[in-house]
Amino acid sequence: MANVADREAGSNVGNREAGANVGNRAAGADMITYREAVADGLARELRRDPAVVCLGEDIGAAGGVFKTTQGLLMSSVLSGSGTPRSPSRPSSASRWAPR
Amino acid sequence: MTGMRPVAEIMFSDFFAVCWDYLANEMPKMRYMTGGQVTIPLVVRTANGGGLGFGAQHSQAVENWTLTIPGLKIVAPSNPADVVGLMASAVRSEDPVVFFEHKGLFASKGEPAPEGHLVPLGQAAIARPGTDITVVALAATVPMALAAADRLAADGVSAEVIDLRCLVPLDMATVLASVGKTSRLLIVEENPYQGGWGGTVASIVADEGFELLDAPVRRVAAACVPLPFADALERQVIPTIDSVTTALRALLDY
Repeated sequence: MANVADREAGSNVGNREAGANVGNRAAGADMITYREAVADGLARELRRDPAVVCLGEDIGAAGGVFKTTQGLLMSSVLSGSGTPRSPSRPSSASRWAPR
Repeated sequence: MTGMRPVAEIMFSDFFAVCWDYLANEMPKMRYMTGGQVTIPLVVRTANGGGLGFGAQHSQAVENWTLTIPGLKIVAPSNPADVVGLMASAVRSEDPVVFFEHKGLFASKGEPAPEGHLVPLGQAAIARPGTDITVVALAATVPMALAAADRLAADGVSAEVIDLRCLVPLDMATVLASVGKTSRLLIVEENPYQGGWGGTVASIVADEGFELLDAPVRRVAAACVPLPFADALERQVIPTIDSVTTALRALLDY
């Protein structure tokens, strides 16, 4: 999956990236990617409610195979609230909880 | 079930088949079978869809698989702000939610979500207002429909694009109101035509909106074949801006 970004650049479905911005013609410079929005959406909920926990393969230190959980493991989501459950084995069954 | 609110990631939505017993038989039925004593506030996130040349087992749009299971809510955002707003609603839901993130959209950009952004489940968005024809789309087919609508605008045609955002709950009120205005409906979906979610939308319009229509309801969907690895072949199978534009023109000429 190392070449995900390369493949996206050549996305088949007719310039999805260009098309995706159609609805945001008047947008300013502070645009974010859909990928970053996934991490943002998760971070907001992890911060808001300590009962929220993320589970998945490679979602921790690796940031997810599509980098949609990039930065969550070591971010302020967790600071001051404890240690991620299994930071030492991030490659197989990464898991963290904000407490 | 035990007080946590898990957000589980299944790396590719194709792999739903591996955990189908939980998705189909356990998660969606527990609340019902316990008479409401136990809820399952679980979100299953997954990377869905094709267009990137990942081949037959890593490219499928499988939102229609989950649509066959009563008890699952289904979310599939098309832009960054909706990702955040719908994620908030999904995590706060007391019932299991399947959250489809489209692989072809990960690099696309949009406005960031404002603080506290919350998009209720089951509320479609008018991605582009129009008066001549309604296009119903979901996730990656939304930018596709918008691009096709741009092309038609050059010919003086005003297409209305509806982003469903969720399949369950399904906001048919917005679709029917739009068809009432335009009297023509094209549905653009990436899952296969056979068993695709557009069939459900079309059947509800046929039932509740028959008298609103001046033309048949048409669907642009993937061909019912395993998705090819080769880019040139994959383009022939799943919807593209070209195929959506062609279908729109044909329906306008009906």
